[in-house]
Formats: sequence, structure tokens, C-alpha cells
Amino acid sequence: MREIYEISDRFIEAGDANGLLYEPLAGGLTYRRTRRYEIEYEGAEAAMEAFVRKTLLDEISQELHSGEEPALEDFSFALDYGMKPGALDLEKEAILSYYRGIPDPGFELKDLRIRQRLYLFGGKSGDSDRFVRDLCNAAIHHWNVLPGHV
Amino acid sequence: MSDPAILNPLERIAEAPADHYRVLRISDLDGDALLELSQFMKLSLSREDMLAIQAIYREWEREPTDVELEVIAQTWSEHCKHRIFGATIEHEVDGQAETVNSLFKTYIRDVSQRIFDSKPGFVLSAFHDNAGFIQLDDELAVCLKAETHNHPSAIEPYAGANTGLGGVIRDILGAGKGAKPIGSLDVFCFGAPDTTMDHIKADDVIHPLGVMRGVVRGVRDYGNRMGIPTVSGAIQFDDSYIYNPLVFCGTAGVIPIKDIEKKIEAGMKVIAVGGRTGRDGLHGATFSSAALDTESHESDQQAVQIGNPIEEKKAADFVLAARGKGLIEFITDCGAGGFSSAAGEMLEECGGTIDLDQVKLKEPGLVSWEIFISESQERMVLAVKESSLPELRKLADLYETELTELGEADGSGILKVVHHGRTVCELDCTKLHDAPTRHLKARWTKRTETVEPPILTNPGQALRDLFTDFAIVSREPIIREYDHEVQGNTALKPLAGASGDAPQDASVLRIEGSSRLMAMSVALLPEWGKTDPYAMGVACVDECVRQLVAAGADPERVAILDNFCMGNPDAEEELGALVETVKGIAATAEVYGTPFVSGKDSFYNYFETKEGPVSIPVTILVSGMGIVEEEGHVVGASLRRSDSLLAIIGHTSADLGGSVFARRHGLENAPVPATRAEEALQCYRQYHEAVKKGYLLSAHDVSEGGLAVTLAEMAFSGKAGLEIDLCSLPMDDEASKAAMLFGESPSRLVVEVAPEHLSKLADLFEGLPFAALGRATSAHANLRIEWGKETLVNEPLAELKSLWKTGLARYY
Amino acid sequence: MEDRPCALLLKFPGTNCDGETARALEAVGFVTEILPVSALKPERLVGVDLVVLSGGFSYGDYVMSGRIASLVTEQRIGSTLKDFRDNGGYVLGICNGFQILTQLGLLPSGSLVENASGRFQCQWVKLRKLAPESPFLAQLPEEFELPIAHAEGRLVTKTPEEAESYVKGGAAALVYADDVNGSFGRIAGLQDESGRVFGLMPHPERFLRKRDHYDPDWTGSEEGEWGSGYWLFRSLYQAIVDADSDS
Repeated sequence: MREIYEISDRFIEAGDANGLLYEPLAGGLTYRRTRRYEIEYEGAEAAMEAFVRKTLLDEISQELHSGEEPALEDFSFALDYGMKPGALDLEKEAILSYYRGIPDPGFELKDLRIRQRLYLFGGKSGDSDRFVRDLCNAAIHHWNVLPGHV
Repeated sequence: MSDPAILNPLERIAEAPADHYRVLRISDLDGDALLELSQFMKLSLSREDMLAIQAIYREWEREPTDVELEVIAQTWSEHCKHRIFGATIEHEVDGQAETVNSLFKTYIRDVSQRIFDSKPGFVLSAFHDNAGFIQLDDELAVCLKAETHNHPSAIEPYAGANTGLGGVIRDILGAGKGAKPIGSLDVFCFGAPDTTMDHIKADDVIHPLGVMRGVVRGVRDYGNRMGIPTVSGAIQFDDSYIYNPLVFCGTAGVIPIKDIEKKIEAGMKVIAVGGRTGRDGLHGATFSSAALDTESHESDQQAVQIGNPIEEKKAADFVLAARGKGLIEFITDCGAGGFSSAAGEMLEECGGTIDLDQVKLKEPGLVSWEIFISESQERMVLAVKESSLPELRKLADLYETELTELGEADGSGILKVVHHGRTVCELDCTKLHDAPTRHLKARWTKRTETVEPPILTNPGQALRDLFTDFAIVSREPIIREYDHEVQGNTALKPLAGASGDAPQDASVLRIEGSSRLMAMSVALLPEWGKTDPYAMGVACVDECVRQLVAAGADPERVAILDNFCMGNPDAEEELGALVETVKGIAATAEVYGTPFVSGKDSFYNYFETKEGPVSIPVTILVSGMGIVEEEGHVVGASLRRSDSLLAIIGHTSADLGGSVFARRHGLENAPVPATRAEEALQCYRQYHEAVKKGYLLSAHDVSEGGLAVTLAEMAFSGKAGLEIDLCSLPMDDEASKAAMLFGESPSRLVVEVAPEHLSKLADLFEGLPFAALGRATSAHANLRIEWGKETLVNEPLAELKSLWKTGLARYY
Repeated sequence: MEDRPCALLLKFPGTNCDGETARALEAVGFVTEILPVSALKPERLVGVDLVVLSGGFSYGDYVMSGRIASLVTEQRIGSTLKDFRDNGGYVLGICNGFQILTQLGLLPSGSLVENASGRFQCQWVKLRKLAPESPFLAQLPEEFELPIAHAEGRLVTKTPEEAESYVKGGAAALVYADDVNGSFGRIAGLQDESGRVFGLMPHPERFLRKRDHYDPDWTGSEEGEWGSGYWLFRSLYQAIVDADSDS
């Protein structure tokens, strides 16, 4: 079975997206980040979700969204990027290592894929090339661009 | 060797691997076929090397295995063997021919040996261990090691810098029987952060800003997590580094003197601790010995590893605990060449067997050579007594690191590797280290020309202009990303002074268990090397030593490291510049009595752009460590009082070459100032006398930007304004105002002294270049510099400081 | 039998301020043991007066700071730390230790998230104490300095009002004099209702002696060689010794 969770921060304001680029773009783009977890598992869904809440979510400062639907709205485009197979994902390692130490987790975690999601607000969808170029590196990353909902 | 399946390597090239290892019939191959084999296997061995290997095997009357070829390639690689520094070089300088039989032996080792002999007991270990040790006190020794990680950082800046720092930390953990890392330095050379994209003449080159951000975060995330303060560093910006950024990472350590000597004996067990072995770390050593082009950014993407600092932290906790309990007999890190280098180094005299079936793998299915040469991160290899194993296993469990028994030393002198019940490698270790001597040609022709200094119409504006230059602007945004105070021993912090944000020349670390301290500093002047590499070498040693002495180190107890980077060693002018640089550092080290205790070199830092190859200028980083006798000797670089006097030590030359001012005013080829090394050493000795007598409130070395910048930086503490008069500045008669204010003559220090101490200080410098410069004042907060009746500079310090503080902040 | 109060310092994989924190504890008079978490059992807290969680990056802090460490601690000893506190024990969390304590629920509800600057910040800060009666702060002046070194030190609460109530009610025992990292209410340190659990982002162990200050001419208001960090540990030592002699 497969489940997707996206975790957004409640208190981190949108930042100036030009701070992420090598050379600024015109048009006052802003960005927000979320983290997206794709979980392949077998066993009790409730146990899996309890694990996610307990391990990955901070109830005070974050919100948990389940499913494919993007957590944020009205963005120009979003960029998902994360470690490609073979490149070390330290967060994933930490989660798996903790999972393996749980005596009776109640579900079997088959696979975990973590993506940073960068939502861009303002600007044009064509701007995504610049963000891919300046933030992603084929040497370690896989990425894809999500068209906006504007 | 019993395996019957002797295959023709060229037939095999097209085939998928059949088994976990192969015997390769090379005895009847010609040079072309051997070279083809080397290239196919990515061995980075030359035709000559391959022929030498063939000859060795003919002598042994057998064929090599693929594991053996990989082992020899790793051992003979530039990264591991430094063959260019061992080469015979026909060198010509300004038409004069000379032959250098090994740069390393002639200029580094022999020079250092003479210094060791003249200072018995000071250097405790040099050149053969992972890092060189000097004596701190009767019980403890300190060490320092610096490495480059240029090519990986060009391809993936974060991961490259991250693993670069992780690697040099392991060098320290593997020095002696396991030194404790106590401080790190990092030095970078990048293209300018404001480089426009159309200025970059190749595809897939990461913009300098991306390189800088990635590299800094890589160092931050590894160093901070390891709990090792990053205390010292430098950044140079130059267009020539756009395609080949340089990333130097260094770490200092401390160890009980009794734990420096290590020896492996027959019967000892060889164990590995730390991370697992995988395909992720293949062909790093040979990869870093080859040039970059756009293709390497694509095809070598599998070579990029990401560091896991917590894995290394656990291994470090284990190693330090085990050494403390006396359980380690020998230790080394798994760096370039992986187990083959580590085990090879460990077993080269004693011999022994390594069992690859015992190695813990990240993924199944690795063949023998992959396991043996994988450079997966965070691994250490130890030799221990069998009786110590139970206690070591307990420690490994306690610190949650994996311990694996790999094999045993047996006294046979043979490195034997077994896998799946077969012997896959059986090499006489002494033969492993006999690489053929390379023969190279080098040439250097003088490049400087006499130029008229510009007429300085508005020195105040010129000073403001300098404070916006990337060479000078504050590194504060980057320094604050590094935890420079973890371990609680950073006595002189990289940012200090009354406002806590003023630059310092060196950092000083307290050492647990000693009343003595250790100063660390770095110097590099690539701009000088473009026109006068010899002078660059001289001035780098001078600046490194001067910064250590300025911070309170005893000039008699300073040791230095040489880290070279250059472009193409087959280009005669480039190699010529390297030879001249080496001669420069050697001559100066000998005068100062500051031995080299460790060094490293990185070649092929050139890139094939659309408009032809771009090489970096020959770049030398001289980093150093110096012993500070007591905490009271530590001298910071920030003005402390408003009623004090200022003086200058050292001579100001008329020459402007190499300075930031010269670069900004189109005087790139102006001659660089001469270093008066004998006189400088006298000055440093007298300076240290003044430190011991407690005369000095603060002191700042004169470097990038010259005297005016130095004075302003001192006053960035916010304690006072400055009133300076240059009328008695010790200088060449023909020195221009620009040379006085902005020239970068070496060997100079500005000191702050209480009024009652000035005449005593002047007495110490009798017969040496020394002059009172002026005073601190609470009457205003300006930098006022006069020359007799003429006011050259009168600028509000707050405005200069604001320029200086914000210059880099916009980009990082 | 050792008369000095006993401190137990928990070391997780990635904890890295244990050495200097133990040194500070010893300097004020504690007997200090550093215990790797792999050896942590409930009975290890018997006879201990103070449990310390020091700075570092437990398990790398990759998911969020302190999360895995708090889960592993619960796995190993359940609610033993809460019982320890309820039975009169003291708990101190510094930097990563503070982050872990908030995750363990031993402090008023709050989370330490990424600094408003988005960066790691290694700098010295001015602090103001709001809980003069705190056993951790008693011997410190109203205002003092300590260094910080963290990327995730911004204290947030479900609502900003909650943080304000901490500031008014004294749970926010320590606040920054300036807005350093975006913390609600400029909160730098929290204490629980018992006053015996205290967490702070700044590093007192790095300012043990006056000479640790960045300014060589800094003298402070106190006599002698000791810096502000010393007085924090010393206050705690005194509180524990006094509590022992009362009971």
C-alpha cells in the first residue's frame, strides 16, 4: 500500500525566492517549503499513520496533509526534489534506523521517499527552469516540476 | 595463484563480469593495449606505468588479478603517491637550466630535516603518518593536516566539501594511535559571487554562488555535527576558479606523546569500524588525479558521495575511548584507495591477510576489487591485539558503531586478500610502492614589468573602494554558520574585539590538560603567483608565520603545511610556476626555522571550456600551527583602548604588485614587494619578547588592502578613532602614497601599546624597521591618516565598517 | 560514599558538547558521569541528582531537532525522567538538550524550529532572566551574556498568546534582550512548573571563565575569574546541596 503525506510549517513565512538563485529574476517571487513523504507499507494503516505523526510531525509548528493534493494553494509552480537512488538521504536513514529499532511497529515499512517541495508564488511557470538549474544537481538529485494551480 | 581462467582483457572489456575476480593476461600485451586496458579500467596509469607493472609480473612469472591492478593503480595514483612531487624535472628559469630530482625530497623533506635537527624534540613525527606532530608540552603533542577536495566540490559543492572535511577529520583520528580533533580550518577559492551567467563559458558548470553556498553548508553540516570548532579560514575570489573551485579542509588534533608511535606486529587483528562499504565510493583517488571537462560532470555522477557526520561521530567517540584505554596498536583512515590503501599502509612491512567476506556491505553483489578499493566514507581501520577484541566490541556497542574483523597481520611481508575462498590478491608490499619516476619539463620566465604608480587623487575614496572588494569584505556571514566555539576551548575566536565582530589574524585554542595553547593560521596569495610564484611562496610562509606570531605563538615553535593546487603539470610554464613556488616556500621555511610537517598536492585543476582550457593559477596554501606558551600571551587584532599608541613593525616597499589595490587599478603586472626574511625573523623574535613582557595590547598583520585597511580593521572594535601620521614610516625612498597606504609588503605588523610601554618596545626593535604611527583617540570615531601636513584619509570608521560588513552578506 | 551531588549526562549519537559540559559540572562541584544512551536504563537514574542533556546533533537532528532522541529515550526508559523530576530530581537541557526536553514534554508546550534567519547562528547574545527564583539562575545578574550556536532555536507555541503567557507567568525563565532568532516572546529558556526542569538554547558551558568572552577587556559585574555560565551551574549546584540538607 502507498500513502503520501505532506508536512507544512505553520510559522515559517514565505521567503524571497531570489535568495535561492544565482541571479535574481524580475517579478517578486516568493517561496515556501514543505516536505513530502511517500510511504510504501504493509499492515495496519492506523499504526503507520501513528508512526508518521509520532516521528515526522511536530504538532505545534506543523500541519499534516495526506494524499496527492498539494498542501498549499495559489502557487505558480512547485519543485519537488530529493536524493536520487544511490545518493545518501540522511533523513531517510535516520527514520529507517529508528523504525528498525521499534519492537512491534504494527506495520511493515517497505519504502520511503522524501522530497522537499518548494512552492513558488508570483512569477511565471517558465521560471521553473532557473530554480531547477540553481537548486538541483543531477549528481545527487531527482526532481520534477508541478504545474501551478493559479 | 591457482585460478585457471586467464582471460584476454580486451576480450573481457566487452563482457559482463563473470565472477568476483579475474586474472588478466597482460604479459604479451604491447604498450597500446596496456594503455587501453588502463583507460578502460579507469586506472589512470600511464603507458610507462603499465609497462613497469608488466615487467614486475614477468619477473614474478605470473599474471595479475584485477584486484592487484586496482591496488597498484591506487597506490601509484597521484593522489596517494604524489608522483609529480617525486618526479625528475628539467627546469629553466629566465634562461637558466637546472634539474630538480624530486621537489619533495629537495625542497620539503631535506629542508625540514635540517630544521628538525636544529630543534631536537620539537617535531615528533612528520611525513610518514596521517599528520605531522609537534610537541606541545611534556605530555601532549598537537598535529595539523589539510587536504583538498576540489574536483568533487566542483561537481557537487555540498557533498564535495562535506566529504572533504569528513576525510581530513579521519586523517586526524588515524594519526598516531588516534588523535582527538580539536579545530578545523577551511580555505576556498571561488569565482566571484557576482559573476554573470554569460561569463561562464561551459555547460554544466555550477555558478560560483552555488559553489560557495554549497561548500559552506557542506563544511557547516559536517563540522558542526562532529562538534569540532571551525576556527580558521580564508576565501579567495578570482575568475580562474570559476571552473575549478578549490576547497581545502584542515583539522588539528591533540594526542598524548606516548600514543604517537604505532606499530603492527604479526598476530594482531585488523578491524574496521564505522560505515559500511558500497559502490558509492569507487574510483575517487584516480578520479581526483584527472582533469575535469563537461563530460566529467555527467559521466562521473556516480562518484559523488554524501557524508554522514553522525556515522563518523560515533566512530570518533569509539576511537578516542579505545585509544584512552590503550586498546589500539595501529590505526589509519580509509581514505583514497579505501581498504587497499589502509590495509596496504598497515601491512606494507608486516604483511597479512584481509578477508573480504567479512566486510559489511551496503548492498550485495560487490566484486572483490570493488570492495577492496571502495572509498565509502566514515571508515577507520585498526590493528589490535586479539586479547583486546572483547573490550573493543563492548565499546563499539556502547557508541553504536559497527566493528568488523577483517583479517590478521602475519609477518610474511605479503599482502594477501581472500574472497569467497580464493586468493584474489597476493602482493609483495615493498613492490607496491615502487612507482616509476616521472620525467617532466618546466620553465618560468619573469612576468613582471615596471609600471608607474597611479596618482592618488582621493585616498579616502580608494579606501572605501577597497572595503567593497570581495578580497577584503567581512567573512562574518560565513563564519557565523560554523560553530567556532564548540568544545569550549576557542581562546582567540575568529570574530572578536569589543564588538565581537572584528577580524583576527589567527585563532588560538586551549588544549585540555595543558597550560599551553595552539595557534592556527592560513595564508594564500594566488594573485602574487600569477606574476611571481617564487615571491608568492616566500610571502605565504611569511604571512602564515607572522599571523601565528602576532597571535602570541613562539616563533621558535611553529610548524607549517604546504598544500599545492595547479592546473596542468604537462604545461611547462605551469609546472615552472609550481617549481618556483616550492623553491620560495622552502627558502623561507629554512630561514624562519619553520619545518613542513605535512603537505598535499592537487593537480589537473583545469577545465576544457568552449574557448579552450582554463587552468587555475598555481595556488599554495600555507597553513600553520604554533605553540602559545600561556594564555596571557594571546594577542588579538582589535583595538582595545582609546588612550593607546600605535606603531608599525616592518619595512614598506615601493612595489604595489600583488595587492588588491593594484588589481583594482590595472597594475596586475607590477613587481610584487620583496620579503626581507632575515630581518623579518628578527622582528618576529623581538615581537615575541614584547609579548612575553606584556607590552602589546593588540596587533594586526598588514595583508590584503595594506596599511590603511589594517588600521581600519583594528578600529572596527569600536573602541576609538585613530590619528595616524606616516611621516616616519620605514619605507623605500621612492614609495608612493598608494604604496604607503595600500601596498601589501610582507612582514609588517601594526601594534597597539600603552603609552608607558612605547619606548621600551622601541628599544626592543633597535636596528630593525619600527616606527611610532600615531594614537587612538576618543575625540572622534574616524580613521585619520596624515602624511606630514597633508591629510590623506579622514573617514568615519562606522561607514567603512558598514561597507566591509555588508559586502558578502548580499550573496551569502 | 560520595558527598558531592551526582550529575548524569546523557550522550546520544551526535551529542558533542558532553566534554565541556561535564567539565563545567565538575568545576562547580558535581560528580559527573557521561552515559551513552545505549547503556541507559531506568535504574541508572538511582542516586542521581541532576540529569543533563547537552548540546550537539542527536541522531543528526535530520527529521527535526531532538525528535529521534526523545523517541529513543522514551523507548529505553519510558516515563522515568518524569518520575525522576517528580521525586525531586533536576533536569537541565542545553541547546540540543533543550530541544529534546521540549520533545519529551518535560517543559511547557513549545517547539524549537528553524531560526527566522534560516541560518545556523554562532554568536554571543544578551539575556535577561525573568524567573529570579529559578534554581538554575539564582546567582546570575538580571542581564548577562552567553554564546548561542544553533540553527533551530526559534521557540514557537501553538499561538503567540501562549508564549506571551510564559513570559508573564515565569515559565519563560530566560529571554533574549534582542530578537535573535525569531523566538516568540524572545524566549531563550523555559522552566517547568516544579522549577527543576530547565532548558535553554545558549551554551553556559562555553562561558565558564571570563577569559572565554570574545572581548579581552570584558570584566562583568562579578569579582573573580568566573563567567556567567559558571554561575548558572553553580546556582544549580547550590540549589541541590541546599535541597539535600533540607531533606
